[in-house]
Amino acid sequence: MLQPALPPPVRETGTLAWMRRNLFSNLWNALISVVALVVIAWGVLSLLNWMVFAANWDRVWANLRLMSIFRYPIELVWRPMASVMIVIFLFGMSAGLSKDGTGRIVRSAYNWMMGFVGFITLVALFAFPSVRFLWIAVVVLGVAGFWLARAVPVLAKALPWLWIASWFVSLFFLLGVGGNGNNPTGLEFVPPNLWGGIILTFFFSVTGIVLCFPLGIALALGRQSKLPAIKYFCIFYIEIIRGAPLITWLFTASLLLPLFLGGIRPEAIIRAQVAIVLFAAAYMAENVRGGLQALPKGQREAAHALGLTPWDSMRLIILPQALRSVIPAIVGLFIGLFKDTSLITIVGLFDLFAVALKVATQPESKLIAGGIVRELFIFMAIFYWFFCFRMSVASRQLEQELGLGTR
Amino acid sequence: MDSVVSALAPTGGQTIIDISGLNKWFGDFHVLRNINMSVNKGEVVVVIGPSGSGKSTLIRCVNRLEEHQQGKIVVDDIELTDDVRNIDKIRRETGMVFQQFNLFPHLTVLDNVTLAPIRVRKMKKSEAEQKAMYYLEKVKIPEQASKFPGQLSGGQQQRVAIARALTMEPKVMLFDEPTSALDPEVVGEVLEVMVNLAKEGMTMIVVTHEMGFAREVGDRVVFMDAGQIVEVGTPEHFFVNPQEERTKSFLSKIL
Repeated sequence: MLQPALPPPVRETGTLAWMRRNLFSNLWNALISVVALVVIAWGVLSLLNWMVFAANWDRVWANLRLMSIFRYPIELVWRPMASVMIVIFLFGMSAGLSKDGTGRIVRSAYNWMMGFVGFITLVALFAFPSVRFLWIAVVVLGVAGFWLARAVPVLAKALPWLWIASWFVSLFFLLGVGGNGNNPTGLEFVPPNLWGGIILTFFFSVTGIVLCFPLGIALALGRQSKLPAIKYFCIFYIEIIRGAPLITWLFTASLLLPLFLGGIRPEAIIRAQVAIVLFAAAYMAENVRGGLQALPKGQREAAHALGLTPWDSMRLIILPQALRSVIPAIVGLFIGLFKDTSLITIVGLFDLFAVALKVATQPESKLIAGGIVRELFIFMAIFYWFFCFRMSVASRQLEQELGLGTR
Repeated sequence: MDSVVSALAPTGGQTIIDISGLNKWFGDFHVLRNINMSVNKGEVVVVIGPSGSGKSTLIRCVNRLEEHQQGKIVVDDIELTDDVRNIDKIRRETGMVFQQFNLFPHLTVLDNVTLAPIRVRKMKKSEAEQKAMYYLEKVKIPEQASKFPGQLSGGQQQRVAIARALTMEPKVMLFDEPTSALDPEVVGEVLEVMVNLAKEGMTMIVVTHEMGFAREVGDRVVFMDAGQIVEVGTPEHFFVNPQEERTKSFLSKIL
């Protein structure tokens, strides 16, 4: 006889039921829960108490500009802002052009970014009159990019090129043009030892992430190559790079690279960037290799059997699946790279971390009892956490969006 | 032995696959030993034998998923050599269906089926989609076109895999144990598609353990053991009156 389908047993729901089940199921658990809650509450409360009543945020507040762009000449502040505008405008365009599926992730990141930019604009509006119109322009351009792309969908074709161009244009605005006397561009040179802070942190991490990705894939594929020369070069490269800490490579790039280039001395910022990209690419390659090896052999065979060219089967069948399976590892690497940019301080560049340490040693800061190191570190912790967390959210969204057809 | 030799070279018809003196090793292991076999246009050849006998390796040599070390394989007048252009040409004309389906899980059913026609045959997207729907109807699952492979049952996935191979309109279809990974309940729906295909005159080499299929649609049955072709014959001859001791003992265990 066929058994009738029964409804599932009723489960207690709600906060109280959950607490009873998980925190207070017996005397021992209840005891541990109470002790743990007391310790946590005490820790959080004393931190909040210190942050609100004891901490001295004046110096952090007064040095926001220094921490954002370091000693970039005040009268030229529109130039770093111009590069922010370009990026936000293209971000808006990307969001406007993105369709459903993975496009939702771009739009969600765009919304966050606009929220963040809007918050800064509000602060600037009331507290920093010198940049308030520049920040309003950033918001306007972010929104304008979105609607422009909506109205003119053909722009999708130009978008990748615009992004590539934006890197050069941003760098051009930030650095200006070297040389003396007549400067046709009207953008005078601002040496990289003058600019830094948050904008340098962003410049380094975005460039590093964008460049190490394709390079890492190329190395991973090279490592699987049938040609011994390519294969062993890639293995050699990966193992050598991973065999020493990033600091070593930053020093190497800073001191030895000019020797290799026969006396040509690229800007410190370029040298450090090269070191970071080459370093991250080795790790990226190993992550990608993990994905490639996890792919069932049958996928390659099916692509071959259909007569797809090696390039097509790599591009359309193998890589999309291999990369999908290692998204968490790749995003982990990106988050690490974002934070590791704080090491560039050792080659004489001033990212957010380095500037904050400088702020802590200002005479005015030292006058304050106990110094302001703790305040600065909390400020940085919030800054780094915000963006790391956002990347991790994007990673999870991407996994969900790509977790296709899982039954 | 005379009957074997005559069955190796079928009379009449046009040869589309010709394998002669084929030898292959996996490391030191001699997996295919002096295989001679040819297949005519429109013929259905069923390869049976115990596991490890080299059946799958043999058909995987035909489209170069495995490389052979000695002997000659000619498909549709093209000899299979290291020349990549020849390999590509032969792969275009041979469709393959795998035991594990090997559908691309990140693409929809329709994209799975249209990918090769668009990329390899340079077909227009609309044309490829039309063709894909024709073959999906043929394997009786046009309504699944927009789903992903992971949402289909094993039997449905294997039928999509058959449609994917057919949409390239190959001259030869290779089946590598197409029903071995399926639930017993759905084996029938895949076999039905294959029977229809055979009746329409497709040239097929089928590695299988489905003796019913071999009997019903096989023009010739090839029995392999230990990397050699032990016996070849029509199904009637093969199942009713096998000549070799090894064949008899194999059949007595499975029938």
